[in-house]
Amino acid sequence: MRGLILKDFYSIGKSGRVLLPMILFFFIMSFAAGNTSFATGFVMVMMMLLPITSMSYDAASKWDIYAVSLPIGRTKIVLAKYLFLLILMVLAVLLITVYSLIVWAIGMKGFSVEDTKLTVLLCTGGGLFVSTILLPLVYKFGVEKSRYMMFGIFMLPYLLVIIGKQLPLSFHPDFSWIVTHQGLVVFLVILALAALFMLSLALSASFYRKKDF
Amino acid sequence: MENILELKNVCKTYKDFRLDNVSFELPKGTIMGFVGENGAGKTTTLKAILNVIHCNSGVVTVFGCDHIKEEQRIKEDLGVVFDESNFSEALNAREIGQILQHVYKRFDKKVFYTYLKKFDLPDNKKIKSFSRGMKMKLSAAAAMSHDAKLLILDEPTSGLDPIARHEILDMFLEYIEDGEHSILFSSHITGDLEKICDYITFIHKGKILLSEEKDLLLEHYGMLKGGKEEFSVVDKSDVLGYSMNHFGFSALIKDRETKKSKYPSMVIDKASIEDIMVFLAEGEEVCVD
Repeated sequence: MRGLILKDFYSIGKSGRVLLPMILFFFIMSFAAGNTSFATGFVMVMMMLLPITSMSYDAASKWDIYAVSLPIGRTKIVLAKYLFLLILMVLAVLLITVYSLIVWAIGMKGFSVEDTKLTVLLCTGGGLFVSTILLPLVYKFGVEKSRYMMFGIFMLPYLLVIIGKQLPLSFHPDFSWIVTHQGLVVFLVILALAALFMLSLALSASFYRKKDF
Repeated sequence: MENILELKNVCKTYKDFRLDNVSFELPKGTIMGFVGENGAGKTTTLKAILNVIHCNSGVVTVFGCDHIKEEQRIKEDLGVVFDESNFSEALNAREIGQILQHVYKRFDKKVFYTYLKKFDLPDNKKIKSFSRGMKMKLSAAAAMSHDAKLLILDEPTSGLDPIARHEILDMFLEYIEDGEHSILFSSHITGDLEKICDYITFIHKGKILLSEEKDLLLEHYGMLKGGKEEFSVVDKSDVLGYSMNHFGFSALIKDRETKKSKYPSMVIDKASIEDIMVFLAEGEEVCVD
């Protein structure tokens, strides 16, 4: 499995090299604008997309037929891709933490540690949520077909917000309990994400095991 | 002789194609040429052996073990080359060595680098800059660097220039010299098969038409040739396939030596692998009437 994760890092090496200056640029722009959440969101989305990029490279080079011929096993091949995603997420959080610490040390006007923590949590959770939905789709339908579904998944939260705005105020749910029970909400969200992650992994592995190459 | 690979009645049905009760055996320490026209089922059969596709029925035994129950153990001893390089073009040979070192328990980096040197392949250049020949050599080097007991090669020489083909074929011959390694080698380049194979298995439209020792095949089969009017006296049960032209007929026959006395006035030449392949395939349709 280590070989497969290594392969993914080597494959996306070029994209990574292009991505780093872009991230740096967004960090600087974000700092100049006095709002770090934009850079946080950007880093998360970019990192989240890298496993899909690696899967499109796999499809282009017909890697999977070769991978299935290796002494690894289909479940482990899928597991390696999920671990690759997790490693990238951890890297993203590390990058954002380092950036936030620098911003905090410089003393950016309007910088709030609490807000940054919340943004990181939200972006990591959101990134994981989208990825866990996206990966089984890619395993089932392939990268090309899943691209269109990906747009749908990205559009869904916006659509919900737009629909919500159209509803009369009396229909708007009361979210104040989230603030009063913050600790419990975070715990439940982490639990739900972990369950979703395991379910997504099991689903992807099941699709992959049945596949003919 | 111990068989390293056995297929018994392997079937796989697609919408427009069927692998139909494929059975053959590959003895240890030998090279088998798996021959057939494009779309005959060569790649599908190799995929079935590798459990890359799920068969509808049949049994595949590799090193005496079921290829599904003992899949991972078997695959430690298999080396695979498909008809194109399956590595991302962004990788280089050094990175492939590092990846495979973590995949195969017995992957030997030294052996891998020896092959790279032998094939004159740079270890730091991206595969993107490699020619088709270089990519195939790299795939072969990757397949032979973990002391695989069986190499499964899907058209490794197609699209290569004669020099590159010669180099790769020589490397395969060298690989089986110790009698411990075996090769199953699919190709439709019959010249390559005649050069290196001990056994020939011929697949046509998803069915195995023959699987025999190459020397016996070349010894037994013959091309019976004569004028158009002579064809009428030929016993049609002797003819496995035939063609007519302006000058006369050519027919593929078996038991060449005994047929010489049966048709003393006609010429009987040795049949090449290509003759056998073409006439057996054509014969199915031409000789029905």
